[in-house]
Amino acid sequence: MIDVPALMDGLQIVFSWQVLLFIILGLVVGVILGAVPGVSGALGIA
Amino acid sequence: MQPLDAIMFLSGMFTGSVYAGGITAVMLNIPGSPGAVATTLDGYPMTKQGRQNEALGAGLMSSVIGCLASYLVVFFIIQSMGNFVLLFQAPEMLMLAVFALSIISMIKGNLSKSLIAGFLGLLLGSIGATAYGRERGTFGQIELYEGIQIVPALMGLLAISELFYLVQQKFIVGDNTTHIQRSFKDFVKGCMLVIKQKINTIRSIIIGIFIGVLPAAGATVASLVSYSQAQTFSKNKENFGKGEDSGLIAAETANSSSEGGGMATMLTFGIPGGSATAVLMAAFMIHGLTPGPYLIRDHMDMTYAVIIGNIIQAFLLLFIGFIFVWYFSKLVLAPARLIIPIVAIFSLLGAFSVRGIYLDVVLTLGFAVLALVMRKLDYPLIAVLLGLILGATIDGEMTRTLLIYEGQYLSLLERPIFTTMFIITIILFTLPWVQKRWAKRKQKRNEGGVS
Repeated sequence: MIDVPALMDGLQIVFSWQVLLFIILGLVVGVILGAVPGVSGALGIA
Repeated sequence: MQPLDAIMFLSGMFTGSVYAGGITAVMLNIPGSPGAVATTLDGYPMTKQGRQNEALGAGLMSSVIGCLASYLVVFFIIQSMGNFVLLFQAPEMLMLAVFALSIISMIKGNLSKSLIAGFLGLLLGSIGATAYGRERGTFGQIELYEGIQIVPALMGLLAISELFYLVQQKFIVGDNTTHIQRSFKDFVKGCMLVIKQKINTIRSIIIGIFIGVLPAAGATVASLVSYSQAQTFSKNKENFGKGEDSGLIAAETANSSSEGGGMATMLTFGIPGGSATAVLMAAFMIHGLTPGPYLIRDHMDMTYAVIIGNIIQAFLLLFIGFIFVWYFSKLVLAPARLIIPIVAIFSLLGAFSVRGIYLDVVLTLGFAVLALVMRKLDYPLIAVLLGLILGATIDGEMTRTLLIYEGQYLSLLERPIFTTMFIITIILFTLPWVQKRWAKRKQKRNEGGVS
C-alpha cells in the first residue's frame, strides 16, 4: 500500500536541482572509484 | 549539506561503483568488486573476441534495468515486506550459500577438476578464527585471524595471473587491432540484447532482489546464482564461459538488482545486506535518520525520497555510464606493455588498500602463482574463488545450524524453504553428471542402431 501524502512530500523533496546535482556527482565519483580495482563501493562511501 | 543531499550523493556512489565493477571485469578480467566475479566469466572472453562494445552495452543496460526494476519493486513492497526475510535463519542461509556453490558443477571442463578446485577454495575460505574463537590454518599469523580477504584473492587469481599471458601479446585482443574499433552500433546492439532476452533479464532481476533482501548474502551470491540459473535454462550451455552474452546479462542484472533488495532490508529492518549498505546505514545515522521500522513510521516521506532518488539514478546511469565506457573501451587499443605495469600496480595497491597489511600483497602474489599452475593444469580458477567467497559463510552458518539442531538434524527437513533449496541444490549438483550419462547412453544406442 502506498502512503500518498508521504509520497507527494517525498517527490517534492527529491525533485530539487540540489538533490539532482548530488545524484550526478555521486554517480560520477562512484563510477570512477568502482573502475579502480580493489576500491569497492563501501570503501568509496566510507 | 542537507541530509537527503548527502544520502543521495552516497547512494549515487554506491550505484555507480556497483556498475563500474563490471567495466574492468569485461575489459581487463579484473572484477572491480567481488560482485562482478561472474561478469568476468563471459565478459572478458567477449572482449578477447573483439566484442567489447557489445559486452559494455549489455553490461550497462543490464545494470540500468536491474537497478531500476529493483527500486520499482521496493517502492511498492517496502511497507508490506513483512516478515518474509525473517524466515531466513541459519539453515536457510547455509543452503543459499551451498546453492550458490552449485555453479561449480556447471563449469565447463572436467567435473572432478572443478570439484577439487572448489574444495581448495573452501579450505582456503575456512582459514581464520572459527565461530568458537579458535585459530584455524593461520600458522600463527595474527593477520590471518580474519581469514583470507577476497580482494587479494581476486587480484592474484584473475588480474595478475592474466598479465602473465598478456605479456605474450601486443594487445588484450591479440596482436592485430585493425579490426577493433569503438562502435556505437555494437554498443546499442549489446543494449538491445538485454531487452531481447526478456526471460533471462526478468529471472535475474527476481534472483537479484530476492538475494539482495537477505542479510549478508549480497551482490556476489546474487550474480553467481543468477549466472548458474541462466546456464541451466540456456539452450547454449556449452557456450558459457566462452563469451556467451546471456551469462554476462544474468550476472550484471542480478548484481545491480540486489542493490535495491539490500536497500529495502536496510530501510525497513535496519539490517545492512552487505558492507556497502552498512556504511550507507552509518551515513543515514550521521545525518539523524536511523534506518528501521521507525524510519518507515516517522519519515515515510524521506524513505520515498530515497527510493525515487535511486530510480532517477538508474536513468542517469545510462548517460553517465555511456560517456564513461565510450572512452574506457579505447583501452583495448592500448599496448599490453603499457597496460601490464598499470594493472599490476593498481592490483597490488587495491589488495593493500583493504586492510593496509603487507601480507595481503604477498597473498596476492601467492594467488597469482597458484593461478598460473592451475591454468597450466587446466583447473578452473573460478571454482577456487567461489569456494573462497562462500567458504566463510558456509562455515559460520553451518556451525550455527549444527549448534541449534544438535542431535535433531532430521527436524531440519521440517523447514519448507530449507528442504526446497536442499532438493534443488542436489538436483543442480548431479544434473551435469546425469546429462553426461544420458548423452553417452543415447550415443551408444544410436551406434547400435547404425551397426
